[in-house]
Amino acid sequence: MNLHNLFYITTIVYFFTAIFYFINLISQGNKFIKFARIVVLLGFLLHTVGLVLWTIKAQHAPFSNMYESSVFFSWAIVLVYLILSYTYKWDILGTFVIPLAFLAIGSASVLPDDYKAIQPLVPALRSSWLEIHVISCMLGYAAFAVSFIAGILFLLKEKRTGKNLDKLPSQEALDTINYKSVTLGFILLTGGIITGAIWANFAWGTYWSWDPKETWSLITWLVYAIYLHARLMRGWQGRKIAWISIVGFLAVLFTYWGVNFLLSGLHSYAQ
Amino acid sequence: MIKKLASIKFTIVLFVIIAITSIVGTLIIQQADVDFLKQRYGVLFQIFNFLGIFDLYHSWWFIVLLVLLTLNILTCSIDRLGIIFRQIISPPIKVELSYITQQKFNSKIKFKTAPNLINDKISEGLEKFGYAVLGKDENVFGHKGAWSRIGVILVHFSFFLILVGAAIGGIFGVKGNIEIAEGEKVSQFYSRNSQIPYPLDFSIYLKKFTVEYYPDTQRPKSFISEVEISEKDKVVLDKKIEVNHPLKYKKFSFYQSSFGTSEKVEYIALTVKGVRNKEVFSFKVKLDEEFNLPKTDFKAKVEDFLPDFAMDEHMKPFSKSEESNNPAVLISLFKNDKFYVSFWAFKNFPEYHVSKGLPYNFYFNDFKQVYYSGLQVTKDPGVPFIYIGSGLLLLGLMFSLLSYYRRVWIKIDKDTIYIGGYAHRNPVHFEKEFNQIIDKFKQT
Repeated sequence: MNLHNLFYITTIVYFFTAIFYFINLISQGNKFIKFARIVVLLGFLLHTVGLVLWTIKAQHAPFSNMYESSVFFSWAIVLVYLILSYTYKWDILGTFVIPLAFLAIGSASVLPDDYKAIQPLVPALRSSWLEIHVISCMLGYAAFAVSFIAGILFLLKEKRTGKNLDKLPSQEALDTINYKSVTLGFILLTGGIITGAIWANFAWGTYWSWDPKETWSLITWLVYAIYLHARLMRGWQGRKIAWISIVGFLAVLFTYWGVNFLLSGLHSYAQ
Repeated sequence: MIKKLASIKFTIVLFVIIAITSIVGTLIIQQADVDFLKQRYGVLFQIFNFLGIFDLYHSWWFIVLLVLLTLNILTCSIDRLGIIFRQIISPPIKVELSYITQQKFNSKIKFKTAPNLINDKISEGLEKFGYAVLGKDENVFGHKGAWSRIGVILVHFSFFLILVGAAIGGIFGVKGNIEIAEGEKVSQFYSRNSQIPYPLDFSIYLKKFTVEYYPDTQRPKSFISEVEISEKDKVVLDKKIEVNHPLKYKKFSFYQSSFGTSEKVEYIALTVKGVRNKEVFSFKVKLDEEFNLPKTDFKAKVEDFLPDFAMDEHMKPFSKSEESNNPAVLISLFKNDKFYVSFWAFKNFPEYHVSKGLPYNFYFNDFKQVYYSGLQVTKDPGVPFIYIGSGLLLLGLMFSLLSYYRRVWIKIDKDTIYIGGYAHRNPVHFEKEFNQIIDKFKQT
């Protein structure tokens, strides 16, 4: 079976998951969340199988271009969501997190065919640091995506009240979700930057060269460092923290996508 | 002044300034050619140039920001170091009853059992929750997550170490490039911002450079330089340098960074076929090397080699590029040592003969160009600091962020147990834990 088609099906499954979550939100009670939970697991299973088969076929982990990494990013978002929702019972957040995963894998599907083909790795990418660097960054980005959702919902709940919105976690819970996922994301992003630096030192003899991707990852890191200091040392909470987490995720998106399309640099193979 | 430098407010201000100025650096072209920048930025050029924006990350003011951040982290850490150690080494164990009841988390339980028995049960119970129990008798004290406080110190100390490592690299490090052709030996290199060569006390000899391709494709898999390091004409090391696999020798590291073909060719392989008597000769010759066609009056010589043959408007041959897109050789034929004829032979068009009616047809079969390999040379004594700092940073972050510090005081006063709790962070989680502890005590 063509692996691209498998990812198409995954995209469609996530679309329906999002629909179920949405219906659950606007309908009475929490009946549809069961369907959503089953469908999201089905999508995640397909997604995982697809990535494993892709890795076997390409003989490298799916991190070498924008198509592969978007598909993986989507997978990472769902993984982080599943872990968090099972540990902390944050199922309802799927209503907003799953559409993000859908957008990530959907954005990969609409790329031109040239960008989707399996290509052998260029010499610079042939390193065991590739896997650990990308996995760390992507899981970090996914955790930040969850905090972004928590931030948005916090602000939304401040503006409006309503029966449907009552299904969402309380503002206090959203604040906690925000903090927990930033904590996780910050450790992973730090790991991603460090492994990237070590790898760069092996490949180019410079652990830091102020390449746009590196610089933007540092900017992102600084935003979340500000978040943590403001929260832990100055006691910031609620609205201000929600805003920083939104700014932080915009920085993540620019680091991940914006840099590739708007700025050039050493990471240009990521296009 | 020092107090301001050590403040958390100053840290946040520095973070914000560094983040914003870093963004500017990604929007304006860095370290580019002056003429190009003048053309690109016009009137703004003078202002940007004055502010050092064209090499922002190495400008004096950006370095000042980094130095300020380093000092801020150092002073903050020293400031907190004492507090944190006192917090976890000598916490307030014996406290007044009012201290406990004033805590955000507090509760009391009435009991009937004899006090000395209940005391052991309390210590045991706290230990079950992972607390280190310090107090005795009517003052029981337990704390947990002290590692998270040490983690905070570790994070800041390691971040300081990274910045120090960067400074050491910037001051004492050297970076440069070497270009070596196959068969050449080099014992110096040019650093990035200096015209004077940097001498090495050893030499590096390029035996061979190869590009390895993925099977059946034109996609390079690997660039390999086979080199020998010699000291005083004695070979001390024989190694391959590949992308992601640098060579380390003494304090220097050599990285595969580029390659190209030099204009030289190592050999040219030709086949010569007689038109009349169908004789066939094969030759492997160097440029300008004369060779005889055996048992004839003819001699030949390859006069010129062009990797990408083309002609200009005056019909003069030249090479369009260094890529071997259309390799051609200029062959001269001599009869009885006298010039006879000269013509081009093409590797990609073997049947194309410029001089028709020759007694022999020349076929240009193969050639090997001499490659040169571009190596980046680095000496950076700051790297160990960076690596150790990075490792500790990650470790410290895990310690400090995945757990938090909390304390529980228990005081027995007559027939009541007073319990107070304090959490350095994460009050939501601690509230749950605190209630669980109380439930446990109530049961026993």
